[in-house]
Amino acid sequence: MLSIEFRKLLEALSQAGAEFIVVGGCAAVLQDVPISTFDLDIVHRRTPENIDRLLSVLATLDAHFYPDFARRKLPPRASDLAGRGHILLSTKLGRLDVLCELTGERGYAELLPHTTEISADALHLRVLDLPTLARVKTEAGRPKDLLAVPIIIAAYEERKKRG
Amino acid sequence: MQKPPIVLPVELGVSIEDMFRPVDRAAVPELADLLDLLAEHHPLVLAAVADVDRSLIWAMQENAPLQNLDNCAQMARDVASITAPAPSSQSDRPAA
Repeated sequence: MLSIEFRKLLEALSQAGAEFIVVGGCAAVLQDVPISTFDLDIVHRRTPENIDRLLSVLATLDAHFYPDFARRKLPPRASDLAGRGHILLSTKLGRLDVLCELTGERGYAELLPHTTEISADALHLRVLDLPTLARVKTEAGRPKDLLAVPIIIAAYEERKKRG
Repeated sequence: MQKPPIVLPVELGVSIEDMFRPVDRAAVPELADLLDLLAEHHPLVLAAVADVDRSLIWAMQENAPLQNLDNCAQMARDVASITAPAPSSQSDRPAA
C-alpha cells in the first residue's frame, strides 16, 4: 500500500531545519484549491548546509529514487540536490519530489519573494503563492499542469474576495 | 448541445452565476499578464475558469489549510487503496 502522509512529511522536513518551499498540488491545496495530488513537491535551498540537513532527514525517511523495479533503494546524493533537476523520491511517508528548480530556472531564491507563510501548531511553511503557481503551471504547458490552472485562478479570486 | 440545468433552490441564497463564472479581471489585476498569456496560447484553459464549481472552493475555505491537506492525503490514500495491485505483484511503478 502506498503511504501518503503529507503532514508528517512536512513536519519531518521542518523539524530537521530544512529550508524549502512547498510547490505543486500541495501548495494549491494549502490555499483552498480543490484538486487532488499523490505527492509532495518542494523546492529546496541549494546551500551545502541545507543540502546536508535535507540528506539527513531524507535518510531517516528511507528516501530513494523511484521507479525502483530492481529494489536497489538508491538514495539521493548531495550532487543530485545541488543540481538543477527534479529528484523523484519514494519515502516511508509517501512520494516526495525534491525539485532543484521549477520551469524558467526558478530556484529557491527566485521563488522566495513569491511565497506566503502558512503556520499551524509548530509547523511554519513557506508555500508558493497562487499567482506564481498558476504562472509556473501555464509555462510548463503540459496538459496535467494546464488542467489545474482554471481551478487555481478561481480559488485565488475567491480567496482575494474573502480577504 | 444544451446541457441539463443545475437545480438550485432560491432559499439557498446562492445563484448559479455565483457558483460558475468567468474570472473577473478587475478583481485580480495582478493576474493580467497571466490571463493575457492564457487568452493568446490557451483560450480553452481560460474559458474553463467559468466551469469551476466555486462551491468546492468555498467548502475548502471553511477548513484550516492543514485540514485540507489531511483531507487531500486521505483522498489519495483511498484512491491508492482502490487501485493498488494485488500484494504479490506490488511494485514501485508510479500510478498512471
